[in-house]
Amino acid sequence: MKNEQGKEQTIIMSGNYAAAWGAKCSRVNVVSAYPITPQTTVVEKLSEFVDKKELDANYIRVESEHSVMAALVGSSMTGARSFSATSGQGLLYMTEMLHWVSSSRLPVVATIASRGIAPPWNIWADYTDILSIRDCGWIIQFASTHQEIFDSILMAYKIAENPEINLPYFIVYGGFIQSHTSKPVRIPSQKIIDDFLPPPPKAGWDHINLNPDNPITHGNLVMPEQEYLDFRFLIQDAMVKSKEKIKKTIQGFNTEFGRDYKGLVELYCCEDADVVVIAYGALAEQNKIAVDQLRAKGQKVGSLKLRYIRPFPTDELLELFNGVVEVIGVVDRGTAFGNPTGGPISTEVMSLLCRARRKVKSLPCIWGIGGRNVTVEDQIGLYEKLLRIKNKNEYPTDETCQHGTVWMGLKIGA
Amino acid sequence: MVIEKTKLSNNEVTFFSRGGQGGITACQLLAEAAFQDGYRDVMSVPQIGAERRGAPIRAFLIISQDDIRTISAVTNPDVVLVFDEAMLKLPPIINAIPKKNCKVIVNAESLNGNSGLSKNIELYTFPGTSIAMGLDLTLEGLPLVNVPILGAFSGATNLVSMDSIGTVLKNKWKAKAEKNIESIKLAHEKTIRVY
Repeated sequence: MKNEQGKEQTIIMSGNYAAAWGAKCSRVNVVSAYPITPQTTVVEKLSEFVDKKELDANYIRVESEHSVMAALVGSSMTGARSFSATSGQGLLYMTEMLHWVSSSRLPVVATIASRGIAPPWNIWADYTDILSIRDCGWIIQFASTHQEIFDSILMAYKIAENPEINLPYFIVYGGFIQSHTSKPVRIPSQKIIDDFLPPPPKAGWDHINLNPDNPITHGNLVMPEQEYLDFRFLIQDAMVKSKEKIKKTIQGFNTEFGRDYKGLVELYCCEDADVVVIAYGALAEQNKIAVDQLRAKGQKVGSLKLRYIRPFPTDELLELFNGVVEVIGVVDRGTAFGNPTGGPISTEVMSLLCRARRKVKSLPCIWGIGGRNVTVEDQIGLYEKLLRIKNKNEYPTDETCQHGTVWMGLKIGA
Repeated sequence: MVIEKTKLSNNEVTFFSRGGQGGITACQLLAEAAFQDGYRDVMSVPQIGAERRGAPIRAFLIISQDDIRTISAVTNPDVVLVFDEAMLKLPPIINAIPKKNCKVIVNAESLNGNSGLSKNIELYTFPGTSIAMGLDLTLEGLPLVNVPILGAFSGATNLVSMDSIGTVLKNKWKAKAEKNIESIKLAHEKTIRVY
């Protein structure tokens, strides 16, 4: 294996290759996958690593995404570090088995190159795929840079395999926009990675270990008066408790690798900001440029990047709302038809506003779905809308504002 | 070779090529070469849809002295590369080329005044097709201009060094890189400023 104990190297690679390298450097034992655009090059690269014996893993080819996750239920139950990647329709097809993984408390990690859901066919960034399965018991983290995709996989296994957590973990980034764009990614020496992320215990996970010498029955019927409710509570309990583990792992990663991912959220210029945009994924990273430009003109604006939506950063958001912020904009790159705002995250953020000690005004926005290009100028335009709400209490009324939500770029009125 | 440390923190480049011409590979190679030259951050963004041979394809490159925090299509490029002069006749392409403050580099033996390009840009041409044919740089009979165009880019903009492009080509094609390196040198020499 190249770079076995070697020095750190920087390689210009796509977001998908960063995911494949993250799995390789985590020394995954089992990969199962079915190709789907725009994820395919993740598992192509992994099959190349396995073929060249640069990664010592079993690569299981199956006939569908449903079988992918079924295969990983089996592999993870034996204590194998298991990985997959998918997108859009593939994730939806996998949905039933996602619950099998989380309810069996298996620390599988998968990367999602999010894409618009068909019809009409769309293969570009849109988080509706992952957001539509947000309640299935997986930790869900967004990676907004290429380096973050790679680094997050190392952290994900450490968090997911913690015996107090034992929850599966999704790392999500935008299809094509991040998956196929190339940027420099630093690959640390394998020795430092191995020290940070030791192999999983040989005897398997504490709670389950599939072993032919010691047969067990798993997932059998429980009667309504039995433990079903209690098992479900324990998943929620692990989700809540994972917040502290996530923060500790991020700190530990920073100590080892010198990159600080802050926590469940990343605040940018929020301390004194009157107006804050809450966003996730690459749009949140781009948002910082708009903040810099508006700050240079004396506007007190800030940006909050949601790094996690499961578990949800409740405390972090309440702290923001209880501070000085007057108006928030919430950007959803995804839809939730029939929700109070039309976007999944803005609905959740609004549910926290009523728990804040102060009145904070909000503007939900649906942006960039189906990969629609969003520029820095567009981001500045959003801040200008929010500043008008703050200064004049004027909410937007143009044709893009429908049912209380701004649908950026909308061409047809309701 | 000393690289001009541009006043701009970001240099944005748009590639117009046809499916099969290697425009996306060219964009990736140039990103790698720029990173070798010491730019702090680089990004290559392919814009792909339903892939078809011969269909117009765009790719975007940003090379920067700062961290690049945006991932979006380039809408106001500082440099435009056109792999096939016939593409200048396509309205979506000619309309996407800025009318000023832009260097436009076209693969063409020569270009007359009716190219449709603004007079307020800097226009360069290089004979990429004949260079590729002369060196037998072809794929299924089609000349590969995606490597020579890197030499033309270096010659016209001085943003990325010939040495770094050469290193990237050697890393990619090892022993077979020689003809490619010859092609960038020829393209560099034969790049002319039309106006």
